[in-house]
Amino acid sequence: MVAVTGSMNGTDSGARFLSRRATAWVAAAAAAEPTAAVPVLDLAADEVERPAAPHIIEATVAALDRGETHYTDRTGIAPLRAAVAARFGTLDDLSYEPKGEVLICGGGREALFVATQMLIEPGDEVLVVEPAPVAYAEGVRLAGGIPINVSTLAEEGFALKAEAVRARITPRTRALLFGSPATPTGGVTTGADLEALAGVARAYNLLVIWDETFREYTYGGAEQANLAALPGMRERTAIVGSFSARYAMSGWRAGYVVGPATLIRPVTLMKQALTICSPAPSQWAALAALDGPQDEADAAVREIAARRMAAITVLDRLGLHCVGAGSPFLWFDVRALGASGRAFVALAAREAAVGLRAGEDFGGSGNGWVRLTLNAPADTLTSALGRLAPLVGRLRAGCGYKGDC
Amino acid sequence: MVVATPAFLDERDHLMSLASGLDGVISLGLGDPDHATPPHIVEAAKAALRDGRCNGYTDPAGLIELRRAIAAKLRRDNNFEADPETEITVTTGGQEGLFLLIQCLLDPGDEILVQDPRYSSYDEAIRRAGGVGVELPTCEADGFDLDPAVVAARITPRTKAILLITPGNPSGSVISPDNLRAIAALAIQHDLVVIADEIYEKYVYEDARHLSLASLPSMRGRTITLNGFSKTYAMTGWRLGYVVAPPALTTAIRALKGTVSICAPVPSQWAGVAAMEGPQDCVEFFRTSYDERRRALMAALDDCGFTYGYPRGAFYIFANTSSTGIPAFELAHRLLLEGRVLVFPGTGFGENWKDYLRFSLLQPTPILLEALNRLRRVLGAA
Repeated sequence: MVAVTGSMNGTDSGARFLSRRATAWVAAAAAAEPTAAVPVLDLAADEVERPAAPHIIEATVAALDRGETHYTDRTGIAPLRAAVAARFGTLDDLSYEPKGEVLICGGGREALFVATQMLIEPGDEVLVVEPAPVAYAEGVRLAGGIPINVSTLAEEGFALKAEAVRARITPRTRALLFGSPATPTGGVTTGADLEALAGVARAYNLLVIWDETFREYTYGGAEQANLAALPGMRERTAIVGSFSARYAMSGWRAGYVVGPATLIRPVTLMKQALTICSPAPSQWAALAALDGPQDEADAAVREIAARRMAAITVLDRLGLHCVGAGSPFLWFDVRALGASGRAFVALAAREAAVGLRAGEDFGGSGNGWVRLTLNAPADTLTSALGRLAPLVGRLRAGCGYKGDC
Repeated sequence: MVVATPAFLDERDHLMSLASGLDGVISLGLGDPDHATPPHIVEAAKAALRDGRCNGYTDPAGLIELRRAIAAKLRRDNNFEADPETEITVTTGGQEGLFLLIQCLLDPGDEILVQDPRYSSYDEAIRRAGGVGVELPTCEADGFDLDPAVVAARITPRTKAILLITPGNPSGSVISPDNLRAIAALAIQHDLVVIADEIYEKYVYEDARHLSLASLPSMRGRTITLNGFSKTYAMTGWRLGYVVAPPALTTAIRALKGTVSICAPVPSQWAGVAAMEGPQDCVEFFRTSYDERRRALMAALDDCGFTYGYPRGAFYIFANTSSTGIPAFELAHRLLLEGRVLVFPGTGFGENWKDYLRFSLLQPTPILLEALNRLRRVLGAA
C-alpha cells in the first residue's frame, strides 16, 4: 500500500463535502456494533430480505440469455414504460404516455434524485416532509435548493397535513416532496388529507414529488390514493416509485419517475447525464414483475400486515406505541423510557444484540423514536422483540446497562 | 423549473429518435460495442441470481468481493495499489462514477481542465458542482494528443483538477507517455488533482501503450482513477463502473452514492467479479476486432477525402468533414435520412467541432464499409 500524500486538495474537499452535505448513511451500521456474543437480530435494514419471485429471477436470466446486455433506450425499454403507465391506468384511471411521461431509473432512489435535481432550481425552497430518509433533503441541497422541513406528528398518525404545509410556504416555495405511506413513520396521507394537500399545491402553484414506494403497504382499510388523480394535480405531480419493496428487487435497482411530459423531459436529461440508461437485465425483470402474477407480492403484504399486528401487540405490552398506518416498518416511541432514539438503538445493539434504526437518522423530529423493519422473518421479529423486553424493563427502572441494575 | 436543454443533446436526441423510426439504419453512433458480453460473465450473473446472491442492497461501496477483484486488477494491469476497504467505490457505470467524484471534489468556482473535444457528459457533472470547465485545445494534426504547454498555460490559482481521458472519446487519441509524465509533473508542481478516466484503457493500437497516471512516481495520492466494465468487457447494459480515490474523498463519494442510487445493480456486480477474475482473452479478441475495423475505416475515409486525427486508441474515429462544406449536424442529418447511417456530429463533443463527425467502430467490418459506401453515395448526390 503506497502512502497517500497529505497534500491532495481532494482530501480537504472530501471533508468539506461531508460537513456541508453530510448524510447519516453509516450511522445505523456504526450504532449496531454489538458486543454480545449472541448473533445479532437485525431489524435495521432498509430493504426487503425475502428473495424475488422465481418468475422474476428467470426473466432476468432469460434476458441475459437473449443478450440484453447493451444500452437500452435512455428512458427505458418500451414494454416496461408501457407497463408502468398501465399501472396508473389500472389503479387510478390516470393516463400516462409511455413515450415521454414515463422514465425508467436505476431504483427508486435514483428516480428521486434525478427528479429532485431537475425540478428544483438553485434558491428554490422545497418543503420536505420530516421525519424522512435523509436522501430527501440531501437531494434538494445538491440541487441548490433549500429544504424546509414540514413535520408530521404522532397525534396525527404522521399524515402530512395541509395546514402544516401552508404554514411553511413563502414566495420562494417551489415544490413539496413527500412519501406516503411514509418511511420511517408509516404515516399515510390519503382521503381528505390528500385532497387538502392538493388544494394547497394548487393555490400556491407547487410542484409535488410523491414517493409512492410503499403504496401497497397500508393497513386497516386506509388505502393510498394517488395525488395526481385529484383535480389539477396531474400537471404538477411527479410520481417516484420502485420495484424494490413490492417485488423484493432491491438488488436489481429498478424504479421510475412518472409525470407530465413537461416535467419528465428535463428529468430524462439528468438521468442520461448521470447513468445513460438503467441496467438492461433489471428492466426486463421489472417488466416480468409488473406483467406477471401478483399473488406473491400480495401475499408478502398480507404477511407483513400479520407480523405488524403481532409486533404491535408485543410493543404495546412494553408500553411502546406505534401510530403509523402503512409502510413495511414500525416506528415506535421510546421517549417514555427517557432515551433518545440513538441511545435506545445503541443499547439494543449492545445489550440485546438487536439492530434497529434511530429516529434521529431521519431528521431531528425523529428523536425519541425508533424504526424496525417488518421485512425480517416472523421468528426473527419475535425473538428480537423478546430480547428487547428486559432492556425496556431496565430502562423503566432507570438503568440501561445490565451492570447498573 | 424546466432547465434549458444543451443544444448538443437536442441534436443527438433528434438524430436518435429519427433513427429509431427508420428501417435499415447502420448505427455508428453510441459507444455500445456490438459484441456480446462474454459467456463466462453472463453465466456468473445467472448463477448469482439463482443462488439468491442478488437479494437486498450491497454496501454503497459495492461488494467487497468485487472491490478486492478490482484491487487485484489494478495491481496486475495498472501497476498501482488501492485499498478495497477505503479507496474503491463501485458505481452504476463509469458515468455515475464521474458525476459522484466531481460533485465531491469541486467547490463552486473551482476550475477543472478538460480536453477539447471531450465526452459531453463531463460538462453536466462539472456544471452541477458549480465548477468551471476550462478547455484544453487539441488538434487533428497531433492525433488529438495533449500538449503539456497547453495545460501549463491554463493553470490559474483557481485550478483544482485536470481531467484526462486516454485513450480518448471522441477522438481515439492516446496521450503520449512523455506528455503524460510532463502533465503529471505540472500537477505535482501546482498541487492539482488529476482524474484519469481509463475506461478505454484496453483498446490501444500499433505502438501505443496505456499508462496509468496513478502508477507514476508521486502521483498515487493525487490521482483519482475512473474506470468501468462497459467498454472493456462489452457490458454497457449492466451499468457497472468504479472510482479509485484517496480515503477521505472515497468516504464522501460513498455517502453521495447512497443518496444518488444506494448501490450498483447486484447481478451486475457479480458479473463484474467474473469479468475481473476470469480469463482475459475476450479483451484481446475485442481489441483485435476493433483494430481491424479501425484500419478498414481509415482506408475508407481516405477514399472519401476525409482527414482525421490518427486514432491510436478507443473505438472511434473523429473525422474532418470540412471538404464537404456541410456543417456537421446537417451532414449527420442527411446521412441518416438519405443514407440510413447514424453518426454523431462533432458539436456533441464541444462547440468548436462543427466540421467533424464521430464514427464508432462498433459494427462488423463489412457493415462499416457499407456505411461508408452509403456516405459516398449521399455526398455524390450532393
